[in-house]
Amino acid sequence: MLKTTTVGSLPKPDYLKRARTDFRQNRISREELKKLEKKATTEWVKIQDEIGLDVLVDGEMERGDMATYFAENLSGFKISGLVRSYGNRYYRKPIVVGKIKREKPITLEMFRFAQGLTKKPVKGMLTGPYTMADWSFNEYYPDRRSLILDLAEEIHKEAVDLEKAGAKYIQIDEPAVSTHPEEIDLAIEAMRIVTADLKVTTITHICYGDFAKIYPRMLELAVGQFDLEFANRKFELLQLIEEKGGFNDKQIGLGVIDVHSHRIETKEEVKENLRKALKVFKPGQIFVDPDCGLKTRTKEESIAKLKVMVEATEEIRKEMTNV
Amino acid sequence: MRTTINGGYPKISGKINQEDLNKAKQETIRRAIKEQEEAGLDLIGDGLIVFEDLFSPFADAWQGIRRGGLERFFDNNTYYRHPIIEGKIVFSPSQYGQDLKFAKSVANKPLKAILPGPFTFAKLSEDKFYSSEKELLTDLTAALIQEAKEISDYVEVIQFDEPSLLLFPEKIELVKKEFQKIKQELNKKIVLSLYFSPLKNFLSSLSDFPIDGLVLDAITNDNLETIFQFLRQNSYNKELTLGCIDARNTKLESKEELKKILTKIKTLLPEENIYPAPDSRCGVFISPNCSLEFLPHTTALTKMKNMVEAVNSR
Repeated sequence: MLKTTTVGSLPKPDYLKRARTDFRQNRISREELKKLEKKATTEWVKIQDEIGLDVLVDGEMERGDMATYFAENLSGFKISGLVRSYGNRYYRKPIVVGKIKREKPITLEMFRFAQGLTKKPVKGMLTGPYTMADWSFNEYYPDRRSLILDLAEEIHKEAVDLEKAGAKYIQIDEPAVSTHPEEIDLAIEAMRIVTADLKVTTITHICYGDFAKIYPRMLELAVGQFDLEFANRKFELLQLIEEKGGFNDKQIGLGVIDVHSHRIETKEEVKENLRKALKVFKPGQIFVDPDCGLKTRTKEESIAKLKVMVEATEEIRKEMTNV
Repeated sequence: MRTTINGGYPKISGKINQEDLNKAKQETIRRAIKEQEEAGLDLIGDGLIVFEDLFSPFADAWQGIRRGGLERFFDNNTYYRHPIIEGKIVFSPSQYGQDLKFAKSVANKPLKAILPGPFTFAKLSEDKFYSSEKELLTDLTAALIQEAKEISDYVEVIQFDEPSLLLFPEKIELVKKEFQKIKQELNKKIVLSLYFSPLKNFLSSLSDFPIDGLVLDAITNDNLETIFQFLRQNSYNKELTLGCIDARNTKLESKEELKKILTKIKTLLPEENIYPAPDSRCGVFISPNCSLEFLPHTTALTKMKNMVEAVNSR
């Protein structure tokens, strides 16, 4: 009960950031970059094991933007020139220029590598079809639906491969779902395709946006666990879930760490929030994690935050078994 | 019919040199203006080159307000720092005035300034100080009016961006009162820009909005048809900027497509709007549907050129 995990991305070490720049500017080979991605993955798997997390991630050392990474590896996409993300941060955005097709497995190699480093389960991490489409320019498909459904078919193939490779948890991130309440039906239809016939625990991570507008409809997304941000919304979401109900036996990924803040949460506040959540969910339903990926925090901040999270969770588990 | 932009312009010009930040900013403004002029736009902008987001210059300059954490900007995969209001908002001039002064010194065409509307400013902020939305709006409007007075000498038009208003149609009367104050205090052409959301059931309630013109996103959902229908059913006598260039998709509009829209507009508006007299207040502009900053630089430039070409070809 109260298993601990993370949402997906972890900060890249400086040597890897430099290597990614060097690779883009043709100063190092793909093999050299890959070696460093695996080195960083190895370090992060070890750190997660040492902190005592229950469900690990590979940390996405080989990925830049979560949509662009998949676009780079699917045919039908090209990648745009730089587009502003915020301030002086820019990223390259996917452009759909042809029929979407997965030519070969995308995430499998890194999943296998990371899983080979630990006895704990490592999550398979995918970006959902709705978010892929919403965060891309579309120059090819006549409408959003046809693009999203084609993406769903291809992402499904990746999910099946992850399951075959032994993934016990497969997470399909759909942060964009909450920004278009009017298209929730389409997101639901697409997720049904992605997770069809999977036997393992499926998870979707949704963040930002106005949850009140998509709750409880969003619970129709065909997954077993909903991973949501609670910490940076002062746990107001709990109230919404309690009032509107409908969560039933689904698992909840409970974001207890604010990933946009440098401040390290105290053990007491995490424990307090866990106690609040335990009034709404059963202990077996809850997976404790940060609000979102930690890639924007430093390594030190991430480790400190995760340690607080794991220690607080352990103390709550003890409290519960002592009662 | 004339052409204009609708907010930001992509700023990439290599790395900005930290030591010479001011010079780099001015160079980037100069380039953004030159590119708009060369593309043939009639009413241009500074491209909001110094803005980190729609609120940053004001959150930095005014008292009682600071910039908070990153939040998603509407349904885009881009972010803004949500302003945190911790005390009474007191105006102090932002950097924007200096930038527009510089823009004016290098521009050969008339300029349009962009300010966040008070309602969107309030909605996207975290208010820890005021006891009501109305009080917050009152002080935001007062500060925005002061800001507008600072920039007024450098521009022909001041555009207030109110994307949040489309999401809260029930607030229209409240916001209207704020714009009454803006219009009263400023001796300048004031336009209201609405984007990112459906316009359906909204346009008719804007008919007595105290502004000189509307800037409308004609791309999102079926907004173009909504606008056409509105023009068919109402006698519209303000300036209209039709945002029919998609600034959120790289797909280029075909010339035929654009020409069809322009032909249609001509049938729906009286001749004096299409070919306005120099002192007319009811002209028509064609523009992107929102800031061009959602596009890569080269695509933004191509889209501007295509827009001008379509308008100029008869």
